[in-house]
Amino acid sequence: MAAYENAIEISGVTKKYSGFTLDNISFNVPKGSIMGFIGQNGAGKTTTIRSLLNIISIDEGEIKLLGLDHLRNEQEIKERISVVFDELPFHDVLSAKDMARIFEGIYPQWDNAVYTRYLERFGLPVKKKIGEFSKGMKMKLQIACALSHNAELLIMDEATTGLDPVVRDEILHIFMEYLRDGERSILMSSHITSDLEKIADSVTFIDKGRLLISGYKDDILESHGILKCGRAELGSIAAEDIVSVRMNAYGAEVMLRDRQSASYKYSGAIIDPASLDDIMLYYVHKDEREWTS
Amino acid sequence: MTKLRSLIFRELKICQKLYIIRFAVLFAFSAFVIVGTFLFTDLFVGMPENITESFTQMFSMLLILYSTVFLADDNTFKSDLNSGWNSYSYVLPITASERAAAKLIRFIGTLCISVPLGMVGVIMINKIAGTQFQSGYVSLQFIFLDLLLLSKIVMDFFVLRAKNTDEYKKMQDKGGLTCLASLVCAALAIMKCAGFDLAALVNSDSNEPFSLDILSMLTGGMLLWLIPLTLVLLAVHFAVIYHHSQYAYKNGAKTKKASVRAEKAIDLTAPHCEPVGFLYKEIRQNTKSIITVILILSISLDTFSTQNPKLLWNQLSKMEQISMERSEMDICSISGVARSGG
Repeated sequence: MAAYENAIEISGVTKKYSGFTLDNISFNVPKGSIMGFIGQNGAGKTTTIRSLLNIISIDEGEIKLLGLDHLRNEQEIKERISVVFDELPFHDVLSAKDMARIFEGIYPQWDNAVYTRYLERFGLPVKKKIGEFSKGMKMKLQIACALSHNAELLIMDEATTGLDPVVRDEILHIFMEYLRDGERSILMSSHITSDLEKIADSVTFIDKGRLLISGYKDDILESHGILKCGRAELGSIAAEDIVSVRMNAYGAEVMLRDRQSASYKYSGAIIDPASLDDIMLYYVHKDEREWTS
Repeated sequence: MTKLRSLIFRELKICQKLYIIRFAVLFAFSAFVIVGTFLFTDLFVGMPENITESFTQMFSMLLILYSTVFLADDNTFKSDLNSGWNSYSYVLPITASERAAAKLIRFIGTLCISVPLGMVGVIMINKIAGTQFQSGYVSLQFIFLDLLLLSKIVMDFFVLRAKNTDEYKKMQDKGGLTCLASLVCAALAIMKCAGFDLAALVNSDSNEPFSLDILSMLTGGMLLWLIPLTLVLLAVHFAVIYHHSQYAYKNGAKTKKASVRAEKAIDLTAPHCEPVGFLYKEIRQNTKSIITVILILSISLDTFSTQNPKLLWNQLSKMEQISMERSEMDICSISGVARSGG
């Protein structure tokens, strides 16, 4: 297998539908890292992921997974990656044991011992029908299947949506363990930013089919901040420093691009750190400039 | 090969309960026709040979039809759409040819069990009735098989395009109408190739049973073109599934519609109502297939029994006459024995 630097390389990807366009998406997921792919419902996250997996064809652009072209080396790529969706795509009449029997023929590197260990760890019954599982159990089963064939890249499409915080925390912990050897990578699409704040190394924001921001999570969190001021002081803040402004009854909350330089520029002003949630919200309203919640 | 084995295993596992029930029904139906033949031959000893033969052939043809058609519709694609496996399978390292081959092998495998079972039933019927097993039965088997394959090709051409269960229903309706038209045309074409003049037969004053006329047309020589036709139709069926398997972007993600959610909300998997609940669910989900099979059966029964109502009436009158003669003979022999003894 050829060595590669980035687990995922997307460059200039465009896909047009009537009423929606995925427009010139470009980002990289470095090997051994977790990227959070954030956006509202309908932003284009699932469309991007389907483009990666060649479930839908793209109109323009280039995609490489594990250093290989996603069209020419499709079968080889699919043997080395795993995908987890928000709903379990297995028939209700099958059991965990049946899934092992199915996947051991499909994936050349399937490891039954690893799969059994995950089932025991998650407390999943081996012979019980999947239709009788709870939502959390179904997601755990899907993840157990995804992690049992030594996949180098794990792609999760809103896999933790609808799970309770305890189960989500357990799953995130397992992902951290999975990445320990530095050879594996994860692309995790979600609108639950709190999960990504816990484990993501880098984040990419997408909205209405366009990339808003992409980079290391800590850099993004460090660089952005929220300045609270009255409406009168709003005019003194330079336009190039502002992402967008949320107006409320008491004044304005301004999302700043560069917190550190703003703290020098607007000394005396209180600039609070922003969460990924806040950053997403303000970037979504970027074109409006001033908005109210 | 291991991938293919896994895919076939998955398909069989999903259809397991369905096949068990359908094979049980096939066995029950076979037992019904065999017992029916036994009763008829016992009841009507001394009947004219052509009447016994007519009933034997009617039962045999029904059994052949039933064993071929009853396993045709298994709803696996609909189940795949419902569960989301259809979209998910495109992220697995499975090629379109493997996907298509798994479906076709499972279909052929089930036919390889049901069709010989049907044939064994036909041999037993003929043995019990004392009639000869005719090569026309084998030709008839292949005709039904070809019609089944044709209907599968037409249905899959429409149905495999569906992206979700709502679209599936619409495609099923379209496919069903096209399928019906294709089957009628194909049946007429086969009859013409066999030199079968339906119009002449309907207007005929012949006293011969209708079924005898059909079977006499079907010779073993027809297998020379029926078998290659079957292989060609199998290849076309594979091509249709392969074509649809290739283009994933036409088969989008599943969407759970309210009707599917409502259906799943009925808890029929509880242990105390599992057999009944399963049957109820199967009947609900396969209503159209069941109606189609019932229609085919009733049409075939109607064809064989009412096409010559005059003949049937004559046959029934003859049966009554013979049984009266027998009872008179019995009375005479008993009184003769009594007189000689006395």
